[in-house]
Amino acid sequence: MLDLQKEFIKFQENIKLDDENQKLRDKRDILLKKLKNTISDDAASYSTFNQGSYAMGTGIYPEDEDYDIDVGIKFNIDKDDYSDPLEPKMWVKDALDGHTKKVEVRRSCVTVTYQENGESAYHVDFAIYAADNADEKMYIAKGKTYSDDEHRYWEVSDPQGLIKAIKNKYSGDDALQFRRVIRYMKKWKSHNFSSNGDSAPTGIALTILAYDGGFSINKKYDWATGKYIYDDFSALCNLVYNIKKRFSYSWSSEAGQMCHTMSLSLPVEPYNDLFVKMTDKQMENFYQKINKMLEKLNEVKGKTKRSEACTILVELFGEDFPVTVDKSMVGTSESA
Amino acid sequence: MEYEVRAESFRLEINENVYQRFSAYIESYNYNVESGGILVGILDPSHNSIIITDITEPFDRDRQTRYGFHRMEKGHQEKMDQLWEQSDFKKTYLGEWHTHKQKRPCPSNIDIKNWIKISKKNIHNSQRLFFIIVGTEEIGVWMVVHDMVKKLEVVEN
Ligand SMILES: [Zn+2]
Repeated sequence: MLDLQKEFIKFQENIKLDDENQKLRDKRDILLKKLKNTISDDAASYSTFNQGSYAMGTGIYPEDEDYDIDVGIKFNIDKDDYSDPLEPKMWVKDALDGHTKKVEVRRSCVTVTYQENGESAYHVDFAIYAADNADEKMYIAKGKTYSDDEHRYWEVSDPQGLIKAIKNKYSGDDALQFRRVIRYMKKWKSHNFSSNGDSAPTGIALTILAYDGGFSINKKYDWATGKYIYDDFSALCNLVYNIKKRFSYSWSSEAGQMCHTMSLSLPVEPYNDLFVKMTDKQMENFYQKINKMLEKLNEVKGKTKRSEACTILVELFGEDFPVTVDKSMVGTSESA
Repeated sequence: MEYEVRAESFRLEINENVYQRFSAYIESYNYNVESGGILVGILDPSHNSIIITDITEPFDRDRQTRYGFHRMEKGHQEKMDQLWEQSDFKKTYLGEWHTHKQKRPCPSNIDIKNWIKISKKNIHNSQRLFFIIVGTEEIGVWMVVHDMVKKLEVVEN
């Protein structure tokens, strides 16, 4: 088998987007400053934290150039004092209103969208939490402006616990391999599913599939250098194989056919099923794509030419995967 | 410059610097003896294309005659290795080029045999190999894949 570790490392460098990205930090910091300066005196005190994939170290460049920055705002309030969760959401919305053309209250956050002429789009999602509750848990404010009471509620949530769980699962160089392999899966997803988000597994679902037993470290000790040599390709093959095994095959009355489906719980509160938004048919489609991926990865294993192995990986991941070649033998040539 | 095979979606791109080298031959070469070298470039499977980024030119050791160009390994191999390393191992051998004292170049029987012989060796990184003949007014580009020789056409924009 070819050693493709250099290619995977380069691939990861090409797709990786993290919290150190200055442009994203700038957008976020400007908004946080604006919030601080303009928030109403009636609003409770708050603190902020980064959430989402950048905070977990699993972010990738979005294929559609729509950057998504996630910020948590923890108000020092007891949810029981605010029967309408829209109230604290509006503190944030009103403070940021007018900063860009689009500031909206969405179901789970307040979203500020930037779209500068000809530039990439950015949106910053502010998730609003009540952080000073009797049960010492955190609650996220759910609901939109015109939602009826039933769709306005506080939901128990532990975004920081989730980040901690992902970040602490492994340490040192092992943690880097864990995050790299998650990034490969996320890139595979964005390259193989249409941009309609509902039909694809979410980034967090792919992350938890790796976190929850799918992934294991693949490295071996090199006596010559006294260092561990990581094998991302084998770790990825193993993860994809484990994801495939996790599906169960049964009759779906919803789809009227046999389907491969699974459920997967968030490892922290509220322990919700991460595939709940996907229909059985969409799950079947996810399974077929995982199966196809496994076939392609197995095909790569059989290749002896680097260019052919890389060509298959480009099919799976897109052009961010580098196409390297073996040393060329030019021979001689006789023209007339 | 971009080339295509009729009725195929494949594209061959020749980088500007390479194209300019060929143009320089057309402009100022005397064609008293034939010149030639190898074609070097990168594979771009996501766009179903190949890009010629570099060429080598005759070394002293190569045999240049009125009606022939016999390219040796030495010199060209070292240049190829250097390009390979400098490109993070992306650049590969892609074929051959040589000159003809002909306005619109046309491959000789020896040329065709040579091209097929080269492409039959199962050592290449690219299944498609390219052969360019630089004439006194035009250049001609051919592709050999699975022993088939196909002429490439300039893509009209
Ligand atoms: Zn010839």
